[in-house]
Amino acid sequence: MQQLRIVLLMMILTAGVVFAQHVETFGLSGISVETANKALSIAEAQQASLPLGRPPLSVGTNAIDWLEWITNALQLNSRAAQTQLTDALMQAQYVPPDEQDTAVMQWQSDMQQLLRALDAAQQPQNQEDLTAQLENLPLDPAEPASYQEASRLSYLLTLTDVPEQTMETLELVRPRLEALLSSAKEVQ
Amino acid sequence: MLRFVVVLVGCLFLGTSFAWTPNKFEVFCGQPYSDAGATASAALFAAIAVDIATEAQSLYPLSYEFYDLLKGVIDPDVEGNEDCVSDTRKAMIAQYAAEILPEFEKLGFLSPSPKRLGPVVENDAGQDVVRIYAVEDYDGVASTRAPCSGNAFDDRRVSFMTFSSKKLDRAPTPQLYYILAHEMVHVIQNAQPYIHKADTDNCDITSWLQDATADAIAVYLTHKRFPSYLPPVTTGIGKNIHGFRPVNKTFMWENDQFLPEYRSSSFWRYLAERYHKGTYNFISDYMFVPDLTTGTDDWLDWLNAVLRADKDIQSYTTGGLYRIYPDFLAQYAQWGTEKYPHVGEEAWLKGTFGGCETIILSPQQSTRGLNLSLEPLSGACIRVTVSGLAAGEYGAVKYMVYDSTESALDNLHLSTVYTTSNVLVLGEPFNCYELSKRYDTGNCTEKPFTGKRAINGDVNASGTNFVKTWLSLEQEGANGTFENLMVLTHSPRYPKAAEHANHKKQNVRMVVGLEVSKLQTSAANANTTSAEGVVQNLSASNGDALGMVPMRGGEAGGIEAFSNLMDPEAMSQMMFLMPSMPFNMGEILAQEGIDGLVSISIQSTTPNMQEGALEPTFVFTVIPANEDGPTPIPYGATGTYKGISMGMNVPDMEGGGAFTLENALSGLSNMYTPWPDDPPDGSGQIEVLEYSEDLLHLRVSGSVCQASTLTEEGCGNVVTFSGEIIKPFGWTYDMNQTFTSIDTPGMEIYRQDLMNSLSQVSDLFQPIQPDGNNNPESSNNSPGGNSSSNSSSAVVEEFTCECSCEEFEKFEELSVEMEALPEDTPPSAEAMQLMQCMMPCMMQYATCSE
Repeated sequence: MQQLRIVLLMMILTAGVVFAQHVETFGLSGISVETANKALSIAEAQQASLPLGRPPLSVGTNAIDWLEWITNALQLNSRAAQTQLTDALMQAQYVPPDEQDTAVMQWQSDMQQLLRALDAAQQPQNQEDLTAQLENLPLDPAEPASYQEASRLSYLLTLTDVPEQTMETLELVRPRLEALLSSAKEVQ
Repeated sequence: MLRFVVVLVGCLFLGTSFAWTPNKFEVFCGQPYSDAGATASAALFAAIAVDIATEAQSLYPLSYEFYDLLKGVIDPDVEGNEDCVSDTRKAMIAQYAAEILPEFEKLGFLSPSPKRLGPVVENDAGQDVVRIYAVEDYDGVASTRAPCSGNAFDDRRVSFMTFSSKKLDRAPTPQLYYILAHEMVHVIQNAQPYIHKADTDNCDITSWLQDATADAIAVYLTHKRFPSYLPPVTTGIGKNIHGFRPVNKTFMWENDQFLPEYRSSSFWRYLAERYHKGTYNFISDYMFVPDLTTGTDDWLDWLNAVLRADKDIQSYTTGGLYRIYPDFLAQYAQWGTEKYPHVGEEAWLKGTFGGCETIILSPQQSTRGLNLSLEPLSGACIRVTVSGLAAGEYGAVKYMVYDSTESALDNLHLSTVYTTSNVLVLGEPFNCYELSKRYDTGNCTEKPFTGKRAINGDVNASGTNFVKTWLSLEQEGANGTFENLMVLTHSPRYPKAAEHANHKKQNVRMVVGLEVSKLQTSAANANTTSAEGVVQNLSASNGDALGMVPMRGGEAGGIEAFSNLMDPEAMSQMMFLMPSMPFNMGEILAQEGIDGLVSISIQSTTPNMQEGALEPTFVFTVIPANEDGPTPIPYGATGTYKGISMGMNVPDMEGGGAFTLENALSGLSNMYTPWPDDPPDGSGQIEVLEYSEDLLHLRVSGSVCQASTLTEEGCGNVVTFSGEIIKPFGWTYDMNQTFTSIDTPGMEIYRQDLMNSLSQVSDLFQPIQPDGNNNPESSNNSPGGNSSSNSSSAVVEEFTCECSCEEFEKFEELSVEMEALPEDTPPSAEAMQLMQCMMPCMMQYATCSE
């Protein structure tokens, strides 16, 4: 009888219990091919719509720098440009209608994953070496260059941990992504 | 003290249970027993003695007792692929966890031992270790189970940390350290009183509090171990490490994809660095405070209460989140250059404020309107660029917002992030981040004035609109241009998640204007590089000369405050120009038919860096008039008005010091009389280019004669002048619409903070005690349950005036001493007390013999 009561109690306690969890994602699961293709289509259209005479993406920069370049080129700090890009994203059904507020952030996040994967593919890194370099790099508030170097090394470290799915997706869209960057570098 | 007693009593009764043991960890490839299927469970218990198996099966599998019973008997958990994480990594993770655990003890947290530190098992060496689970194909990065059954706190639950095995195996080590620290904070949080006290109804506490504090501590510990780990903010992990999130959305925004709640760690980092000397122990202090009321959890209300009760913050502000959040956003706007120079301003402001609204002002385009939408606890960045000033010329940028309720305006705060040119009162450009380091109790939020806008002179007319403006100081246009970076923050007076977590935007209409004046004159030795226009609204004090706009009340209406100098409430109200004037000059003049601008002056000025003011040198005044008398310029008028000019050379007028005949004659000789002095031609002219809602734009010109050169033959020295006066918010110069400074719940907080900061500088000022129960919507918003309410007068020493001649003599003696006091030295407290007697004892004093 006592055991039955305990079992019942356990059932009550277990059934319907919501295990509250605190989960970080960091894009761990990776980006799908479908999303990557959509993100690239938007990127290509946006880049093609840019006025002539914009400064080119520097030759030799990391792929991730393209994201800052296009953000500047599209003047995404202005409300008008953000609205324009949001409209394009909504028209392409990039996000569900109720996520309009975060559509631009979503596209930037997806492009960031692809670009980081491209950097990882082009520049294989040694995690241990980079960690050692980072640990031996003193940060000097009076020396902004030390922060730049810390950020560079920290970025290279992130290339050692790109999700497999994103790397697989990259291989399928790599020609489009490389063409996009190449075009950005050729702009005069 | 309360905390000390509780901890002491707890230690006495619980003995070693407060020890942080065990202090060793292991990584286990597999899942907790509670996640095992029925087959695995049956196999497990079949392998051990029946009595232990029976007892174990009667225990709750998520409990401390379950693992304690089976420790050393059998491992109850479900083992997966033991190579899911390399041995090297397992050892590294165990070492990191053992390094991190004592840090929490240093930060003042209560020990989670023995129940909630984690499932404790015996390792191969017979040591007790806390188990960390590594799961293959895990959906996400990591999780820590909250000790909740449904919504209720379950005292039996142990904390389980589960990680993606891939993440543990491959993450760069600084990132690994950070993820581990973050989850371990959750374990620690599960053991703090704010979760398990009775008043907390839902122990799964809101993520913007749990994950933000977990990330703040995790980043702090990660940077102690890996100071140079700074991934770019374009990456997810970089955003977490920098606390980089859109602050143009509410502080309480939670989103699984973009994790703003994690990145709100920047707010907690700000609290640590701004108010707690870079330490994070205050978080454990806060988490010792239970939720405020049974029946509902409002963690924003709780946060506001703990901030208001924090002694380290009270010397800055007693206003809690209301005052803190605007200052945070002003500082945060500069992190991209000052704290993280590798990010840069543009990228930082784009990602945090969504970029800045840009306003370009010049004498040709001196006002601009701006429509903003602000969620509660969010901010908008405004970049104001001013051009068209000559080198050495001074101008001021002024701001005003409009709404139909005072509570809507109470939500709004304006902060200066930086200015690129010298601010007159500072003698250097303003830089919020730098100045906050230099001046401990400073604040980057501007001094506000909330007002009512009268309709036809009636400030209480129905449909009256409310307005808010801020103190705005003169700036030097060093090379003809300057830029101000500002943040407008929505921070409600009584923040509550129940009311403010809904993303409901407040639409804000803001007008930004440039105030500038220009003067040319033929007067010898007149330096006209810098000029100032003075246009009086006769129903108001001349607030615009002090950096505001004309306001009804103020110094001129300070008689009431003057007679209550020891009353901090009255003094603080005077400092915000709230006391009413004893009479309404505008109304009196209106009855005489004078209803408009009656006098326009333009003066050359010299900056006085010590006083922080532009001091007048040559002053030229034109009174609009014709042969029939004064012709005041009404609101809305345009066109040309004739007038009478006059002038004076102020330094020469003041030059003598003592009153002597010689000085008087010298002063008179520097008076400038109207020339020609024969109306109707007039000696002056006012061209009204615009006198409207947003702008007062005048051109004045005229000629005057230096009085000392005036003879029967004519004028020996005719001086001509012409100038331009540009003042934003034209309506404030209209006697019928005068800005009336009012007290509001928000203004009360600003008044309290001002008096409290003054009281730290001088004994002359008494602090205003914050009312511990001044939230009308909360019956008990003080963490300590302090519901006592001290009225301001209770802290003021009473002084009774005798109105005797001895008292008057004493006052006269002190008056002489006061005159001899060096500049900037305040009068003695005794003098201040006696000054209170001046008004009530005036008649008695008048009867005293000389």
